[in-house]
Amino acid sequence: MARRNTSRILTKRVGDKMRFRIRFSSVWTRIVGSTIAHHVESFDECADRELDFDVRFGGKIEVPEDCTDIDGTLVAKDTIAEINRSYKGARWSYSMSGLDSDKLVCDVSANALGYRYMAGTLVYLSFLLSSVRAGIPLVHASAIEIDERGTVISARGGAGKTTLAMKAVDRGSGRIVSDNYVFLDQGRALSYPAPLNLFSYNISDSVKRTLKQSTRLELMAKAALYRITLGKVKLFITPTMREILGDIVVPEARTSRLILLIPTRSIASAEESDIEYAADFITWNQRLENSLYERALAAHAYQFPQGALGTLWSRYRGLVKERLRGFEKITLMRIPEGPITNEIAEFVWRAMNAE
Amino acid sequence: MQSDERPAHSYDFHKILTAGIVLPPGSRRLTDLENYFRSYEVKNLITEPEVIFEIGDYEPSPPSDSASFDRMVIVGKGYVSYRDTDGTTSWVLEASESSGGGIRARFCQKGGGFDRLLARNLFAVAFGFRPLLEVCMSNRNWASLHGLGLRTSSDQGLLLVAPGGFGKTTIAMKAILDSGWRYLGDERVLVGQKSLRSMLVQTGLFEWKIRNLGQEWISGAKKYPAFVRMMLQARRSNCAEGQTATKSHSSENAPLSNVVILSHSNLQSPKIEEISAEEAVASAVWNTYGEFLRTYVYMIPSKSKPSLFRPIAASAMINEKSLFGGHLERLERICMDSFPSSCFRLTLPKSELDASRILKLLRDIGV
Repeated sequence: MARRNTSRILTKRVGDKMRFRIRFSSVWTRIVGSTIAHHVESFDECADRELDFDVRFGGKIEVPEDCTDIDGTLVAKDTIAEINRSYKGARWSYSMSGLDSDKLVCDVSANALGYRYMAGTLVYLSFLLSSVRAGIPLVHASAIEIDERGTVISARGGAGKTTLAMKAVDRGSGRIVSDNYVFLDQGRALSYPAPLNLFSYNISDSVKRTLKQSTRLELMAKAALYRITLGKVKLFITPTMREILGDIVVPEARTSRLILLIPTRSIASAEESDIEYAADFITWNQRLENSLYERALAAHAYQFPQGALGTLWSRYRGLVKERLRGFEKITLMRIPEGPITNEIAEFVWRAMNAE
Repeated sequence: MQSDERPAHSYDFHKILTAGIVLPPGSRRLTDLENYFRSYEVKNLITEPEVIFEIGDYEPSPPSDSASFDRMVIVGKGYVSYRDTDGTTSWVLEASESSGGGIRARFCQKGGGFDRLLARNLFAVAFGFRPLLEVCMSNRNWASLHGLGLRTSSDQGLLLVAPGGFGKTTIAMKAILDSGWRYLGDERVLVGQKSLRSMLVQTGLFEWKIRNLGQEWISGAKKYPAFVRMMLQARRSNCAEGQTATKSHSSENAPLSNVVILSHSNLQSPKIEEISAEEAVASAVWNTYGEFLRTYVYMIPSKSKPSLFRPIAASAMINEKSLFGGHLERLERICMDSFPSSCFRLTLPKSELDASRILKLLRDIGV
């Protein structure tokens, strides 16, 4: 596969801190694991010696020798293993080792539906753990750059992060750093360039006009399936962020403003917020985003409360708080729930720029 | 909200917390629901309980200034949850801070009313209210932990912390039948002010355990109301393990002098080691949290299937001073104040549970 610009973005900027590899044992696992492929394709694969984590799909699952069984989860000091789990037709086994060491290794074996579930969970957990270890916490937020100032928008899924970012692009002044997930480094936001969250409806018109017909059809099919199944099924598309969004994607931005977005049933309002509150908000937002693996985490932390997972969220919060010190302005905004209209977007920009 | 309404039944919660329950009038199933709350021990009628559970007759109306999270509505200090089960029944649970400073929780089927014949409704009532109770307790400096409390023959409190299915209840049965120890709460215990109390909500008695516990326990099980047996069945089919049965407990308390964290391993022989209070607290709180996740969070979370735990997290996220904000942190703080300075971790081989051996090990460390 040809190296893509978006992939070089991360390896160049964060390369000294985080490298990883995804391996598929067969074409079959690659096909059913397309979720993962698209989650991470944009990052690029890299050489063995520098790996921070390594995800292997379709291999044999090793059960750790000296392990404790808590609630069906096998935990050892450095390993979590879930063997033969199933839910509504999805079956999977996985093991994740190296939690306390420098190199994280995940093995996954599953049926087609199982891969669908494990993909987001495991790859994402690996990212989260590695990013905390590397000191660049992964935050469930979108980041845009307006007038060379980075703005991070944190909100729960479906609140309108992507749509707001696109509206900024439409105004002609915004460039997209990252959609849905952002790495927060000292004073800057780094791209997590996965096209997972892009649909036909949340891509702005100016971008849509430049899309290739095939890309447009893929995005429309994805949105249709998502709506028909009431949000249960996401179709994973082949284009990368840069193929969809073109030159409006930037690898990183200097962070200066943070927006905490809360959908409400009332009219829009905005207020200044502080670092403590924002750190709580972001940490809980992150935990809400991935409660599937919280059970494994709880099982591991029961046995090793002082280990990597037992202290994960307190370290995460501490890191986020540290990174938020560089922000000039933190605003808590309540917006009417439902689609982001132009009026709401206008309100957000006005509130953000208000002194 | 009708604050002047007198609760039909109220229970004195060991003078820590008072709870009242307001039921829709006239139904044969109500006795089952009452049985669930009977464990709070009827002392007298209380006109203004701190926690009021209203069931049935009202129409939910989330205020306009509420935030929404995955079909959950967060209203200032409370939350409203809409939940579907099997696509057939939906219900609404509304919890908010009442004018008197306590918590008022209201429950009904979506659209109003309450079908008393639906077992899953009763199920939802029980499951919806437990987190509220626990939050009330932690606000009053009592930590509700997942574990088992025992009062030894020398009147010392012993807290056993272990994940579900470990065998806490089996150990306790052995200790009670052989050594004359007393129950201080099963499944949920209250820790605070350096003492241990029972949290009279559930026990870990499953049917298979009841079968294996001798004639006196079986005859006891027969007295359990149909509601409890129904819930056991429901939980059995829904989850890997059922763990709801009401049972009379002792309502006593004891100084918390021993905390033992239990775990399984592949080692050949049991190992007991002293651990710091910090580590024991972390294990106990994570165990409580893990049990919460197991009970309340769906196996596969999705936006169309919110769980009861998510609104708590969402509420904490929106407002750290909310009903649920800082609950886990409070648990940690309360436990740090109450746990003895040295605790124990007992690691056992993963073979069949030998309750008498465990009791012997416990005696060896001076319990």
